[in-house]
Amino acid sequence: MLPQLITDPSVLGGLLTDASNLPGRADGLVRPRSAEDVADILRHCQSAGIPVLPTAGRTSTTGGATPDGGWLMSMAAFDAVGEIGHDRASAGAGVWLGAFQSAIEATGRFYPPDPTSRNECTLGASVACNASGARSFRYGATRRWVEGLRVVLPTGEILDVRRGDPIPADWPVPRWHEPAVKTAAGYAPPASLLDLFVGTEGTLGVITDVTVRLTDLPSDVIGLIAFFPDRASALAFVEQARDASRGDPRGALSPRCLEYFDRGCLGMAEGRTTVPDGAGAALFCEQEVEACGADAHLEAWLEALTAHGALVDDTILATDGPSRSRLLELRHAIPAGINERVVRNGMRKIGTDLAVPDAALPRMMDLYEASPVEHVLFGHIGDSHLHLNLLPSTPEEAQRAKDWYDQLAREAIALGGTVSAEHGIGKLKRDHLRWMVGEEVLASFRSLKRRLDPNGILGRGNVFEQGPL
Amino acid sequence: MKVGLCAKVTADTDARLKASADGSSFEVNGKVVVGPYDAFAVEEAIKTKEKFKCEVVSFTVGGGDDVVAQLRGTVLALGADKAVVVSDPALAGTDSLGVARTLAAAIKKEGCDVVFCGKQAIDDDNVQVPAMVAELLGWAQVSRIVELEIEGTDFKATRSMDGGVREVVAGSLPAVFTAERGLNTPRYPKLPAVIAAKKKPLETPDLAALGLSGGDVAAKAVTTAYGAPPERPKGRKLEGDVDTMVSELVRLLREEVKVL
Repeated sequence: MLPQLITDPSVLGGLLTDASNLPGRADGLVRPRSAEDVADILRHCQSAGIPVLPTAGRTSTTGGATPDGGWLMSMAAFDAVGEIGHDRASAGAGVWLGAFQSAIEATGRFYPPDPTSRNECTLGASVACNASGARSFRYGATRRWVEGLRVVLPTGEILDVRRGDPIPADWPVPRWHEPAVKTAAGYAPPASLLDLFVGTEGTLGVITDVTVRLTDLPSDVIGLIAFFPDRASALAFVEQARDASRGDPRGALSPRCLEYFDRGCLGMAEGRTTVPDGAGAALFCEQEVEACGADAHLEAWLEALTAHGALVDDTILATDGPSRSRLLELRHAIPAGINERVVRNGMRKIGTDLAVPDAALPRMMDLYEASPVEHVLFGHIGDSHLHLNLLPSTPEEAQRAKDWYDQLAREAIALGGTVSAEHGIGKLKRDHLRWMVGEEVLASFRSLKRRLDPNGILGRGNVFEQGPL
Repeated sequence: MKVGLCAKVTADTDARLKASADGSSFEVNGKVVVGPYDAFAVEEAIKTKEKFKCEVVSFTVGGGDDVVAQLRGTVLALGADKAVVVSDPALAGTDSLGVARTLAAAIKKEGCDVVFCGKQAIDDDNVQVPAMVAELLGWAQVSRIVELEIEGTDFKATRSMDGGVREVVAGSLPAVFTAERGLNTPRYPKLPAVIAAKKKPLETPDLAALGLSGGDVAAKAVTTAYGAPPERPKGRKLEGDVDTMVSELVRLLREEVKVL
């Protein structure tokens, strides 16, 4: 029996868009309580040709959680945290990621993926989009941590998938060369069946339960904001820290994240926090305390920062809860400043999610800085993955910003990079994906999608254009 | 002019406290920090140092490796010149008066002219010690200040009262001030200063070195037990289809909660 279909516009009204602000529409909402319910819904919709989109935290910045007609399927009932052991933890797909991580950390274990939205997004969605975050510099994206999934295929079959399970021989699997950078664009060439449901943006199945691998909770973490006179000195430091970290992941200089803020960001933060005179760029870094001890870390950091001309006397350190909270003020002041500007301008911002090979980062940063409209640049510089935020103030500027973004995407592709390192394709980057992978590879994605979802009902409009597959 | 500050190292604001199984003590699950109100006292001491170009000494009662590491990473890194951590087995189980006697003796020995404290500790919410220190030293005392001006040996301190009324208290040094939120904005520790602070002097006198004996700090009132509050009953989850759940909810509200 199908769960009740809710069509009350006042209920649906709150679910029609996501963090992209793309307007959406839906005809109804269903609230399954089990994988079997999900299967019933998908079988019905598959035969009736009704589009279905799972809905949860709606933090997608690419319109991935914006419905384009059909039914929304709430994952809220899948909210049980299961067993948390030493090596593995399980939970329903609808568990809030941050709450799941807190429950794990209370047992002294650690599940690292930390998308910025982790307190507003669900575990299942973070798997579906292979979420990453600042810490992915050290720990990689979500894919590396997923051990098992319960998935309902768009035709209603329920699969319990473990890492290493083989892909059925008659499934057409995409084979192509992903760019050698952090990427969340397109269907990754799968090593096993599990990979088909991680990072495919929910287009190949509905995840209802997740099992992840755990690691040791760091004994302590040192936070630090270092200011630099300019981008070049910050970048030179990043290169040393990145190399050191990759050379010896447990060494004295082995950051778990390296986050960049340009001069524009610091301008946004002024008035909310103190920015030293002469600062042209800043890095937010975290260092887990290893066997060498906190003092050895601090000395190594000071030495490297000094060598690259950082404003060392202004380098801010946080070693405990209150000081870490104050350090976060600076980080939070920046998005707050950007949002204030967006509201004042009355125009949507355009945020990029491009990543390029490390060697190409300076070239990419040249282009970012040459943006024709007001902009700020920040993000995961350790992964050569920066978010350029273009802040147009007129419709003409908005068009210029969009054209510029297209040009940047083409340039990132030409440099061997990706059009999306963590946000995915959703409905906003389908053109960019086509430019990146080409028609032939895109056709191989379609072919797999068609094999699993003959009527293209699941996540319609995400990754692929709406219409016949 | 010599400035003193009292810094208590307590459980971090996000740490969890748990009574030990036998109820004789409590455990801190998490890190320890210099208390947030003490952080305002530290900032005021450093500002006073900058104004008068004088020395700042911090005082702490009881210490282990964690306490010393915190004092070096914060108080000394932020600009205090020396830390005094009084360590003596007789201090285990002492009370507020014992702590105050210890601090007063240490402050007297250093020859401070003004002492800053946080308005209260955040672990036991104790507010008694600073006033006791002032009394034992025979100094003026102003609690919960939000503004302070010192000119020569005269001070003018502002306290914030209910309804936004501001009370201005004037007097002469020596004095003990306790810091309220809003007195200042504590600065961040800077990386080079944190490293340099490792080499700053940190003394660990025992009670005898301060001219005190175990009897001077013997508790007049003792904590006899720590325990957890009674557990709240678990929530109940209604099962079944919507009609069944609604009927059951209405019945419970009517018969058990008696709100309908």
